[in-house]
Amino acid sequence: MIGSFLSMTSKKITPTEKKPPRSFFGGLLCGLLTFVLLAGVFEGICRTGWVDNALPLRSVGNYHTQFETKWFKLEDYVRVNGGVDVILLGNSMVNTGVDPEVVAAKYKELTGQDVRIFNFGVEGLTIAPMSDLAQILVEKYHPRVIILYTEMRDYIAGNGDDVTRKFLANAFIQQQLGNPSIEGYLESNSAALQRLLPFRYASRADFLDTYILDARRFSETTAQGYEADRQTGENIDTLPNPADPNDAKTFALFKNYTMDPGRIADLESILAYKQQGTVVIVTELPTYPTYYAFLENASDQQKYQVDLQQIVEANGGYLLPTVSSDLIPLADRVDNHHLNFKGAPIYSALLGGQLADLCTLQQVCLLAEG
Amino acid sequence: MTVTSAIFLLAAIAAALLWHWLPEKLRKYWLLVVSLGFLATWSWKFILVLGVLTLVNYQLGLFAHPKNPRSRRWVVAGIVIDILALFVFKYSNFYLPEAQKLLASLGLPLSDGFQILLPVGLSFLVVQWISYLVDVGNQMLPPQRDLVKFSLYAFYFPRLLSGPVERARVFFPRLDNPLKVDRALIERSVVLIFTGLLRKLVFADPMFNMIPANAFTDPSKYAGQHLFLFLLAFGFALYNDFAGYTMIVRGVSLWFGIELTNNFNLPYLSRNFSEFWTRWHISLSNWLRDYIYFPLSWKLNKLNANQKAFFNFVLPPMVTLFVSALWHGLSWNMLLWGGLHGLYLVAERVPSLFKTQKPMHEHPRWRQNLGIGATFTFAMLAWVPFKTSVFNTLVYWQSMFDWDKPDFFLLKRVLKGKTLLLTWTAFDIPNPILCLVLALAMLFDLLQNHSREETFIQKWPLWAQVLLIVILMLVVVLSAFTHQLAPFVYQNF
Repeated sequence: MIGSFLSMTSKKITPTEKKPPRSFFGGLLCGLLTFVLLAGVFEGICRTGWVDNALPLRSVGNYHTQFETKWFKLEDYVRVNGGVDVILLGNSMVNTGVDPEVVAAKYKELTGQDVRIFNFGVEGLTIAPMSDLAQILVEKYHPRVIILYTEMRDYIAGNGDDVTRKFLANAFIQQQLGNPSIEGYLESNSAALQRLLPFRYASRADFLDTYILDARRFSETTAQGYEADRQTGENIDTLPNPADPNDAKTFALFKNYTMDPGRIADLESILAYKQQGTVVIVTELPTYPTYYAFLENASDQQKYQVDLQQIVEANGGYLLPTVSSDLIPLADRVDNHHLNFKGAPIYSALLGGQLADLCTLQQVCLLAEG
Repeated sequence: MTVTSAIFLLAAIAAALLWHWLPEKLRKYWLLVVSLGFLATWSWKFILVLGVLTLVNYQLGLFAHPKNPRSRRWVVAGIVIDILALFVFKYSNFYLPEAQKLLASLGLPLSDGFQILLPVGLSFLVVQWISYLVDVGNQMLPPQRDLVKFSLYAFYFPRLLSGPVERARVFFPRLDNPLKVDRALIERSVVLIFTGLLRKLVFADPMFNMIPANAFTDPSKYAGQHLFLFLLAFGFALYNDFAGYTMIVRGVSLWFGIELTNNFNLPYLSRNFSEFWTRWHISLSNWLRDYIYFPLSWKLNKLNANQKAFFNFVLPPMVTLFVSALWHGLSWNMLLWGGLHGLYLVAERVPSLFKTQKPMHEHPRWRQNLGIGATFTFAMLAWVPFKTSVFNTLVYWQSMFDWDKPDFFLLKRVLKGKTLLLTWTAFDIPNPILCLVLALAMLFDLLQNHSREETFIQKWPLWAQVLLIVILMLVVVLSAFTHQLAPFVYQNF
């Protein structure tokens, strides 16, 4: 083929067989039309799901690929289950710490109710971008309940701002928040583009490693959004050391702790969904006591808990008490604030029990009555 | 605004349409307005700086007319002013820290963060102005009295950022007598732009991105096979980046009927380094030949007519390549790069000391192919100091030949499903995507060489053209969603 191709391009034309060269404009037009046609065909194929095995990853152009995993898992979950009743919101602690399947099973055992629960824990997100994410999820999926996992780091001014900025800069997110653009529209609605976007960084040096990692994480995240962490931490019960450079940053983060008013406003904006009929339950994952050794004063934690309770109750939310950390063995943790694949089911069952109690004792149930 | 952006191309189309609509005598004014507008998208301060330098060179050109008894002095003064301007703006990193210390000690501290911005295209403009003044002084062309035309010689927007370096005696006639913009010319321009975009977006940018950021700054971290591939990729990426840019601007310039100099002619198929420098960055190489190499050779021959004398033999190529190195940057690694190329040229001339050499095209095919291989190899090796410090260059060269055995056993286990695929780097096999893009870039050049025309894709069968266009469109669409337009490397010069 190459031989005939080369001979065609260097063929000498004798006077008797002189013919005008074909216009490049014709080739350009054909090329553009072919591209449009192929794009249309690919769009159709992507909407059928035939490419799920060949191109498992999808993207909406956000830099946070773990968020995208959760987004598409939730989309698939809703499509299969007809909707979602409960969405868990939080950071990486939630991502690896709560198994919705276990929660739902325990809840059903105690209340008889079949609940559809999805874990939307996203690494690195604080309460600031979570308030925007909550808006998007409530408006799109109308869950009956949001269980918001929050902790002291959420309310430190400036903490996680870089992640927030990059996350919210995404045209897709802005499209969902009511700031439309062509890019946002395409990222939201084109199945073909969503399959192609994971390859937009194909020319980066780390692309192959990153793609393999993202694909593995996608496959290891369950249909309900839970991603088990297989590691087991060491020296979790050792107190942090201010002289250790690894710990020094966290000590600095918690120094002179106060709850930032801006971050409190973000919490209040999530609690305000009560007015739209969404129940908001606020709770915290059971961290190991050495986690709060970073605080300058032990009273900071108590004050935080009191303030949090006041804010939640004043805004019509429900504060679920934190499960005792004694109930999760050391070997079931990744570190002093993340649970591993053994600790997550234990906590999830306890959570299921708590939610069942909330339903039977306070008539705050995960499903609407009737 | 870069030349690969949609805004640039749309604005250029609009400017060209208006240019055609205007009466002939108004066109040069419109072209100048458009060019200044393009420059303003970078910074209005550049217009100020380059405007002053343009006026200075314009006036010096008038003074340099041979009728003026002191014309030679005005030429020298102009060269000194232009080189000084280049030094002040381009090499501020070199002298500014010391200047800041000195001023602070005198009680005149500069504000924190004070810096001197390099106006875009200054390096290229300086060599253009120098060639203009020398040519006027040597009566090769009359001084340009029309300030608008002289300003266009500096600001003409398609070539403003990174050349090509145009000779005034070639540019002014083309400006005065533009080509007839007919369908054939438009088609040629579109092919040039398309090929340029292909070289830049499909070959150059991906290859640059696929080379890890620390490959040249910390080469000891990589196995030899990776460094080998990175160097090849860098060499081809740099070439396609600059060649792509030149093709795009030449294509855009044809919309105004102005032909610009071709800057590249398949340099990696050169049979020796003398030929290499007639194929790589042609406009600058020719400038160096005409304004450094030849005058220096003549001067040395006047002092000693023996062409085989050491100074006659060694100095011209070495000095010329050192000047080229300094033009690219004031650093030891750049001087090493220039010095290497100078040595290559000197080494090539050694056989001529003993007997008269045949021109390369008269040698047998195997000898020419051997020349291509050797020139390619040594040119590639010289790109290392072009890219990184002298120390890292030595480490790179040494590490390149220290290969690790790829883990084919692990690869086999993964392919058979016995082991989970965790990372690609675990195999220690070079990036297959990079290998593919590099191979395609090489094939593209080989096809162009076979066809002997730079617009060779015009003659390709329809299916091949369609395939290229689909690939380019896919790359353009995906690039749009990364919000990244990699700048042209030679914009930094």
